[in-house]
Amino acid sequence: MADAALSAYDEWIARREAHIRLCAAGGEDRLGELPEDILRLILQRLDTRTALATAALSKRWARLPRELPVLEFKVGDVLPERYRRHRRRRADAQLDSRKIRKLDELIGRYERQAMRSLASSVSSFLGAPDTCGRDDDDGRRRAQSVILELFPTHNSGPFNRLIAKAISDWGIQDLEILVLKPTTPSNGGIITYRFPHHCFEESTKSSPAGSLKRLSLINCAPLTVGSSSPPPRAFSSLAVLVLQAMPKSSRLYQRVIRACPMLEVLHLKSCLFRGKVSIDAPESRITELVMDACTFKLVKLGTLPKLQRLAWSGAPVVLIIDSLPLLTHLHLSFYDDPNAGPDPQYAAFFGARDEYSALNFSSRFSSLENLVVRFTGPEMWFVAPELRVPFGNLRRLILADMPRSWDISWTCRLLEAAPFLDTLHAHVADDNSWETAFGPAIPEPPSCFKHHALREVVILGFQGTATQLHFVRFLKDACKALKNVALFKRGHIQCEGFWNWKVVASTVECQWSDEERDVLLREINGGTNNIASSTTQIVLR
Amino acid sequence: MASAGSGDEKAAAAAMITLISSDNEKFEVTEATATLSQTIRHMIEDGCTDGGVPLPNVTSKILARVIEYCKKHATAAAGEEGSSSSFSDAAFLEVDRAFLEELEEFDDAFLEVDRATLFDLILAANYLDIKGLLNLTCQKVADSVKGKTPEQIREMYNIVNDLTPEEEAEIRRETQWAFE
Repeated sequence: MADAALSAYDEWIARREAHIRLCAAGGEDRLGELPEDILRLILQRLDTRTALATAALSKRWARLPRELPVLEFKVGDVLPERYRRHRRRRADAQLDSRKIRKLDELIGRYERQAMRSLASSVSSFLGAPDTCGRDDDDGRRRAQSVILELFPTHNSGPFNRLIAKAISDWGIQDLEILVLKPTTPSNGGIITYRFPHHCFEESTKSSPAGSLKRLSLINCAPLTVGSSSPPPRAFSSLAVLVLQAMPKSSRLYQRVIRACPMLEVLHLKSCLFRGKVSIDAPESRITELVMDACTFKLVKLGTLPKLQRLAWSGAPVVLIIDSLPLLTHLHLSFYDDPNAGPDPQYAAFFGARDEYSALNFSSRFSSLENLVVRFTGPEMWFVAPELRVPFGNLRRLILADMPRSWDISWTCRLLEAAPFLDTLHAHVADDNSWETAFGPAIPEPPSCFKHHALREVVILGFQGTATQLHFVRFLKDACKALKNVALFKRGHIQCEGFWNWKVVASTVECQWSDEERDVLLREINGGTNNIASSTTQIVLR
Repeated sequence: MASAGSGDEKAAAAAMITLISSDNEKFEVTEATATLSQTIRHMIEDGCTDGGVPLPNVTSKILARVIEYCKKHATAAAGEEGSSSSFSDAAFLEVDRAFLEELEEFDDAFLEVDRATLFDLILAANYLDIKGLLNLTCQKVADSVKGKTPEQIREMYNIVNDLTPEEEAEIRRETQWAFE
């Protein structure tokens, strides 16, 4: 015993001496000399794995409090660099099938190894007395979120325990589960990772009931398909649910919504189900619904009484809307779906549905204030709108990525439909070389049409074409309240998320010359250069 | 009111402050540059900057670099404030993207320093309370140790392992996952 203590002491002395020698050689421990505040700043910027590992650096580092609000367990952190090299080689198309098989075998082995090691690590993390996680006094972790990234595995026990403990003991608010697709399909049939429903049933006394607020599931089903068992209890408190790459099922969405009575925000991402999706939830509290890069062919929204924000981003879709009395924000981004086949796709407002993918609204938008429409791709257009003031409260209209052959006549019709429109921001894509096939021609509003609210118009990508000049002249004559018109040669509309957008006008490149400016202004002002009589300020840049 | 306020600001922007390094070198900077440091901002507010601001914890070599950072970022801050257009809409922004990219490049190049200088910069940023610079430099250190084993980190930063073998074994058991 005494000997052991002595040898440990000797070793310690030896290390001190080594340290002193090191310092003498100019190798100071500058990191360790930093004040604790700064070390904590650095710790906060580390991933969970490295942050925990730094406890083994020295006594000083072991004592540092590790407030890890986010615990990440990622299989990607455990995979060696060699695995990534194999993956890169696998992507090389030049390989023959024998080499590919060999690489697949290696890659599969690394993935299984990494999963075994992640599983045993999670086990030991759960098994260890909660000391290295720097608990607060009552012995509970203060983690707010858990992020789990894994390959499908037969041995999901440790992960299920982790989730159960995180929800019921630590009371986490955020949970993200990302199931990676294995590089090679395993030969033992399909293994998936199932969301562990049973884990949520046993809730310990110490747990704050229903703490889980945000759940994000990627490539992992929230409910067992075809099962009638009651939904997991943890769902009862969910406010935000993100479902990405969901298995193909049409009824699932409706069931999930029913399972989450407190749900306010639902995001569906890359759900590759080509069919009809119906959502009808008269009891729901959902205020935000986003469908991003999904391949639904038809979306039928029944009653969603609290819905305020609705966004669709993807290929043109048939959108049938019944009753959204509180909707204030509508975001529609259409882009060409390369998998959609050779048929031309149209996005259409109020259009006939036989020929085009259409947006059919059977109800008016009494509360709608913001409308964003973005087209990216060939052959997309609005067709024959039958507009009868359905946008009674619309204040802002944003049109992004308009093709160069932008036919402004329907924009004029939109003005008719939105008598209280205040700002119109439009962007004409300059790199958009495709020509647009038009739907049926849209008559312009009668010449006596007047708009009494529109105050501000910004057009980005303004080229001074005859149609564009005609449009500006039309606005100037018809809009009695118009104050500012800005016409920029370059710029773009930047969407941050779906609800915030910025008009970004580049001021550095490509400006109008004085001469061009004079010509354009004269055109807009109907041949004269006298703009003193006009109350509208026109800016050309 | 508004015009008087902006007039004052303009006058203030032109005012010069003298910073004195630990080795007694003097640096003349605009107030806009100097007030990126909360420490100096407070001194200006308290009116105790006449005759220069002594900074006994910062050498001239490091102070010169810190000022270089502040100058660049002060221009960026001024650019953001000054871009309000006649368009009422808050969403209407004119962003000079080239300049933002340049700023990022500047930050990257600014961090191309040896470790000793990096730590001096951290300490100076902490002392002068320059949030942007402190974040930038701490991130650099964090990035350099990310994914490394304790052995690698110790070697990199000359950290002496003063844990007893028992302590170390205990820690490794607790955080086994971290060492796979």
